[in-house]
Amino acid sequence: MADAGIDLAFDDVQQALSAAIEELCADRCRDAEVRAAAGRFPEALWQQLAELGVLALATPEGEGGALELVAVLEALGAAAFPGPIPASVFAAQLLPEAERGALVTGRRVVSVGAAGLFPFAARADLLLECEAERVYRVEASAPIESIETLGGEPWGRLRSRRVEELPAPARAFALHDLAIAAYHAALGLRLVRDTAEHARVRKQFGRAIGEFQAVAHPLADCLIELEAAQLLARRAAWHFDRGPDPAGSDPAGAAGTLELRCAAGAARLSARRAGVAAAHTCHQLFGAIGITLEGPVFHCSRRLLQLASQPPGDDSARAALEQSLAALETPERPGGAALPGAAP
Amino acid sequence: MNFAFSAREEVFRGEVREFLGDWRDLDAFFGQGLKWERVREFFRALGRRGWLSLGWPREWGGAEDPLVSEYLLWEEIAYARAARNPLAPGVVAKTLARYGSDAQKRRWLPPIQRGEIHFSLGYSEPESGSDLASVRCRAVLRGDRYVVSGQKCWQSYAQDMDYLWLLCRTGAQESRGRGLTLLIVDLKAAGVRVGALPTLDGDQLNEIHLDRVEVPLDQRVGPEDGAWKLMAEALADERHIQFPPGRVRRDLEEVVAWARRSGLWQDAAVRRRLSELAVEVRETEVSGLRVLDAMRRGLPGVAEAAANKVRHSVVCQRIARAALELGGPAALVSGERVELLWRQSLWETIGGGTSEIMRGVVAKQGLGLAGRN
Repeated sequence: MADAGIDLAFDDVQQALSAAIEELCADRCRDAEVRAAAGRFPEALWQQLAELGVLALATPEGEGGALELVAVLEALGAAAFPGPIPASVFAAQLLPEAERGALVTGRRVVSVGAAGLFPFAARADLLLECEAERVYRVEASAPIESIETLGGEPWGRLRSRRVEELPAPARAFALHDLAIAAYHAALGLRLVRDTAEHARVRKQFGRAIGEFQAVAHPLADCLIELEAAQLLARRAAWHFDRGPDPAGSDPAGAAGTLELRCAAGAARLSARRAGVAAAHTCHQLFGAIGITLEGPVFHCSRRLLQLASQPPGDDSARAALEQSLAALETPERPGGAALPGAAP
Repeated sequence: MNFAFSAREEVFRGEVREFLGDWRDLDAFFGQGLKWERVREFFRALGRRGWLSLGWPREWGGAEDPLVSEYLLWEEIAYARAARNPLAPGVVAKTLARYGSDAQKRRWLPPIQRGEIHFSLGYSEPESGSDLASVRCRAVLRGDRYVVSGQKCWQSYAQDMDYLWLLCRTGAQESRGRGLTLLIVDLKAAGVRVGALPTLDGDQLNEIHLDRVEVPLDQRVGPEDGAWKLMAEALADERHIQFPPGRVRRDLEEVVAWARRSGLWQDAAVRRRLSELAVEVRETEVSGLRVLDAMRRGLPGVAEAAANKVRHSVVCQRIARAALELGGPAALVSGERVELLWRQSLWETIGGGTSEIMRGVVAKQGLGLAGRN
């Protein structure tokens, strides 16, 4: 229905996809499994994702586009599903068809790194390095030094040797940004709902702590901001699927591409701010429970923080947003100089 | 899922933009009270186009358009800085269409539709701001008229309006929301006194004293003691158009244009800050669409509207405050738009329901956290 007007619901196919992922997560990716996944690559879960076709979404071989990907990522985010999902989605946009197959079927794992730091470097079959908006295929030219990260992912520090530069279209960065945004917003929302549940049950001073506005209002703010971020991710995905130039008025696709880049970049920045703020708020509102290793927050918050700083970073998103602001044609200020408000 | 308005809706938006071309100099979104005569003309022009009754039932001359038409109309008007949406064709007319007698509809709806008569919302009182169930202004039925005494305050635009949409007490004070009634009060009636409360954006709020004001019985809307339900339903009539993203988009554009004129734009930190605000403007766009989507589905949309109000009002404050923070002494000059935005945006988290109330609604409806308010 191209001309139906605003409709913010996922369609039946997208809902079914999301339900399938929820089922997988309820069965195989509960909190205990997420905690246990820290420090290693989640081999079995990764194969499951590949078998379900998740890693192929928004590629020519995939059975669905960016909106399907977002529907899936929201379900994965809500479960704090481990593994380099946005990086894999990004790489699938860059690699030639011959290589893409091995990636999206889970036979090969990619590490997208920057500044000598590479996620899952020891496990990865393929290393890509980002520098601003350029992407290079690289090899490790020195032994990989294993490092741990805040998010519990095993990363590697290495000296890289560039093999070739890959074409890196703006659409690839856009898809990466909206993928992170969808995951981030969903995980933030899950954390907020978990914390609200705690606030309904936990009693102090003879009443549920959720009755105190000092508890309820910060959670309400988190909800408001995360729901906006989630919609921005969905809107960016809708934009991605629609292509750069649906109306035919922008033959080069430049304006459409900049708008897609801005839409996805805004989603990432919005979800990052809202998600990280939610992580901090929920740590606080759980009190001492919130800072224990086995508590209900850390396995989610560490994942939020980890993804927030995932390469490729948000520089290109910020650049696109600035470019779009610089191009604004602001209507002439109405009314000339006679503005109200000149009170003493 | 679809984030685009339909072709038909875009055609309508185009008509609105073209129409607004003739009103480019109005600039009464801020300080409407300073330009009321022109604003009244503007509303009459909207009335001539049938745009004050887009969502009304056909039976009463409306177009029975889906809410999206009103949304697009007031979105464009907000972006053009022309005026704020008037209460008469919204809350007043839609409540009358739903609960008024046929005689009331015949009397009030046509002049409202033409943009000829205007209403001020008479809800708040000195002791009843957010807590409207505690309203004290009293109306007593004597024969065929109510006699009303009490005080209202913080009414926007009441100095220029023709009628007051008055919430008053007819039941016992302890009956709270169950003892309230809606009356239409002529603001020129004997015993009505409107006083100015100058506001820091150069405009004014008002206090309204009612001293034994006589209100004919046929100016009661709905049953005696029956106001609460009517008010709750009327909320839905307005919330999809009250806080359109066009306002904040325009705020940011003006601050960006100002930053470029003044050379601030050369500073990378300024550009970064403004592009972060552009992200927030986009958040207000989707928050607004979320309200529209809920209403389109026939849902109450209460939490969505509250969330939109918080996001919208916080973002317009952030834009204004960033301009003051980044702009140095030049931003302090009276009459500069950025200085006015700072003054005016303080109102946005208060008027139309405070952020504290809105967050309470979101916490309750969205998260099941019921406080004691």
